[in-house]
Amino acid sequence: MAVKKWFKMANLLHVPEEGDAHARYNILRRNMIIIMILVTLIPLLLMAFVNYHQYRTALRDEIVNPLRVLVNKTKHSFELFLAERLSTVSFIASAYSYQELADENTLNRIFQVMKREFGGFVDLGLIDSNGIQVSYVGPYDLKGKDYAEQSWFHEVQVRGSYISDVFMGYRKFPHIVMAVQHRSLTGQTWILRATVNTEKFDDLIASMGLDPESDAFVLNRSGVFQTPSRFYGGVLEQFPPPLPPVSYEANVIEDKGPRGRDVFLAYAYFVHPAYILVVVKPKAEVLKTWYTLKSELAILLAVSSGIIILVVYRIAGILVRRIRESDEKREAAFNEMQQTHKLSSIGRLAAGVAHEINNPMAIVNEKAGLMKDLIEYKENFPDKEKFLSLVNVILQSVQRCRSITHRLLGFARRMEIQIEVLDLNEVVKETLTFLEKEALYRNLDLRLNLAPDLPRIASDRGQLQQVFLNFLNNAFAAVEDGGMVAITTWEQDLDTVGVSITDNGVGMSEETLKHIFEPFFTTKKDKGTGLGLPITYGIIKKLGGEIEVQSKEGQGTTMTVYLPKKPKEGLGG
Amino acid sequence: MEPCKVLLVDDEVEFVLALAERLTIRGLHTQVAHNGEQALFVLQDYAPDAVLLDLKMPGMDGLEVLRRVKKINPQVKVVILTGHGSEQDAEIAQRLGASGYLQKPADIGVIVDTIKRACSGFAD
Amino acid sequence: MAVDRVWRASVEPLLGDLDGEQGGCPAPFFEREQKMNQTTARELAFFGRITAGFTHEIKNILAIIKESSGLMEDLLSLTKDEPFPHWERFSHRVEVIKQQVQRGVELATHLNRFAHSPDEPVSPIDLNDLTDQLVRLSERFARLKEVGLTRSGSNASIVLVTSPVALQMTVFLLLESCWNQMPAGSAMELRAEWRERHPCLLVRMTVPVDDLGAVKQHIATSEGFTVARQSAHELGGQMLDDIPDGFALLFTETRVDQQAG
Repeated sequence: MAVKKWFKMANLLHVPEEGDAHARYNILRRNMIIIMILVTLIPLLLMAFVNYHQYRTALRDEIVNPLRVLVNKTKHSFELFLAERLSTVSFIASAYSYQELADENTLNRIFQVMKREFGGFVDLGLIDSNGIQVSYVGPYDLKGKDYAEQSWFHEVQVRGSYISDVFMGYRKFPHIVMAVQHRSLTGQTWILRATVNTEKFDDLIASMGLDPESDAFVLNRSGVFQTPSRFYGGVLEQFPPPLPPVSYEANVIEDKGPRGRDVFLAYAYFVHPAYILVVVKPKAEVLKTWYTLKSELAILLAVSSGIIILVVYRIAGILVRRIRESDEKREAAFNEMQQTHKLSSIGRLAAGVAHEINNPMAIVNEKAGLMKDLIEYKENFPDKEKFLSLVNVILQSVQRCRSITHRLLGFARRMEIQIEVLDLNEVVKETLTFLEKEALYRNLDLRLNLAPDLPRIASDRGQLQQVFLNFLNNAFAAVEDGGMVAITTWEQDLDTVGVSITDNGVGMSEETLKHIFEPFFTTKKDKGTGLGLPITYGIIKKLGGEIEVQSKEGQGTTMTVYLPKKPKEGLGG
Repeated sequence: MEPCKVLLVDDEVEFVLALAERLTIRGLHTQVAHNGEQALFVLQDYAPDAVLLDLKMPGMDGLEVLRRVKKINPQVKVVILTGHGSEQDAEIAQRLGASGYLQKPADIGVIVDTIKRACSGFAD
Repeated sequence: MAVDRVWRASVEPLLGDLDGEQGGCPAPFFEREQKMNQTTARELAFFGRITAGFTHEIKNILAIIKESSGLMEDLLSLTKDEPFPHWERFSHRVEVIKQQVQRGVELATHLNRFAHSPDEPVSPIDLNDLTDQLVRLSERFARLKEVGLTRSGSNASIVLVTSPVALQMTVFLLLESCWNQMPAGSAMELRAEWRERHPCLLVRMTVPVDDLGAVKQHIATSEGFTVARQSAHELGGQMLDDIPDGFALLFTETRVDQQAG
């Protein structure tokens, strides 16, 4: 059950047909708002999300790529530097014979040339295939030293060359060792070993031109600093693990730097020697534009969402109000149709019965007529005068009965428009007969100012009767007993005649006057107004006429109707 | 026993004349008035036992006539005969001392009975 | 007694009562329906006022005829001992006039009751009275369509508490939509009864053609019937068109006066 209810709730397109109209429109409005917000905000949010990510990627690439290029370039410089030095050593190893190199004088001369031409060389030595230092030029006394047991000696024997990690050597400067094995045509092997200081490394790093917030350094595979770092530590200190994953191409990862800063870590592994070049750039620095963009995006999103919600809310309100109004209009029209139908049925019924009364009256008329003949033609009829006058009274009464029945029929027939040429004065007088008695009983001063030569007009007798009855009713209700009601007719212009009904009754306030033709308008105080005035208005409009109302509180009201002499186009008759 | 004297008050001249004559035929003494003022005027000389009164009349209305008649002579019995009767009017009339309330057109027998009962003082 | 039921005839308070329930401004939606009915009620009251005035006037005139003919009768009876020629014919005619006046009085009385039905917004209505009154009032319409209209009374008293005018309108619309569609020579019978423990107005039809279903179909799709169905619904009733020989107006939700029953 709960699920079903939930489902029903979720079904936004479902608006209950039954129930309180007010609640129904509220539900409709709520659903409309939800649907509209969903269909507008979801794409917006989705787009914002996608854009956010795309921007971020694009921006990151834009920031990361130069970094990568820089790392690659620098790595190459390093490699170039090392390869150059190594090839120098290698060249010397192959250009000179073992005897020449074993001679310390020759070796010294070569060393001097190397120092001059390439720079950075600290010492140079020849080691035979047994690992014994045969000759040496440099600041240490290493001649005769046996390297046979050292790992680098084995490595150089396997790979043909060797570059060491940085170590603190002569005068506490960081150094690296390079060694090259040479095999002569005769199969004799020797190793030429040189020490190079790493000042050049620092130059290479400095040439990257990094900003003061950034850092660049070289590590070995164990994470030991080969060059000093700005923020992490000096040479031979340990880089905080873990090391970035192995990649020989320049790669960028996000990491936490020293002091907990978010950083980009750009790095590349060297193939040989086993170094890692690392450039560290703080993220905040790099992503400054991104952060600005991000906040702009967020503000834009928030503002536009707000506007959308506001607009949707208003639009839904307006739409639902329109729907409601048109519903109301439709309902009112339907009701009106129905009411008219019902009312006309009552009218038909009453009219029918009124007609029916004419049947016995016709018989009475017939019989009375015959009696009159009898009385008149019999010479010796006793009490002749008496009987004759009584019969005449009956005949007159029947006539009276017939005429008021006719009036009621005319009144009941008001439902449909039937155009005929009529004398407006006559219609006024006819209508007045409905209320004559009341006027008499209440001692009303009825004044008729009917234009004697009023042109006949083509209009609907029944409808006009209703209009006048309505006005007269209102006028009668507005005046005290003994009050005055005046009816005036005149020819307004070539096409129009006018009828006005004036009373000296309570009148209406300006406020009431403004609303009296509005459907459903009633006032508490003025019980004379509001009775069928909208209907009256409708009738007059239908007949192509105009209504004018003048009223002053406490002084009275004048209702004026202007009627065309010829009916509007489109009316029957 | 003296004939019962009735004053008929109605603005329908033909009606009141015919009715007066019929009542006369039935042994009542009648006099007619066509409106309230006339009725009150006639009341002075005629001194009827009963008044048959219509309620809706031009000028002074029937209830007012009833009120004044009762004021002038509380002994006079008043019977209402009207085509415009409402329950309210009937109540007011009764409160004002009317002895009967008949709807137009009423049967002549009923009218006579009601008047005679009123005259003889057995009015309800 | 000739005093028929006295009906409230005062018209001014009628109109006054209807005004003034609501304040000045145009009412919000859910009040409008009520308002609409008020407008209708006002119009009905207005119409009732006119019709009531009419019937009173008619009664006055009938009273004149009645007394005039009565006087002639009296005068004739005085000359009974010395009858003149045509005395018989003359008094016969007076008698006829008296009868016709009585007929007129009855009609006027019914119309008067009908005209006063908007007076009470809600009152107890005996369905048997209602059928009687409606059949008398609308006999003529059926007659013009050459359709017989009768009612059969039932002993059970069935009293609804509802709007008399709305109920009358509904039943009249139902009857009217029937005789408008029924072929000449048909007959209909209106009857109030209990059906499935609800008050019910039954219209039974006999038609001189074979296909009653088609006639019923015509009736049920007419505009008048649609409005009748709607009004029945508003009264808390249902229009049943699936009973074999006609229609039924079943008051399932309408208040029933149990005391009277």
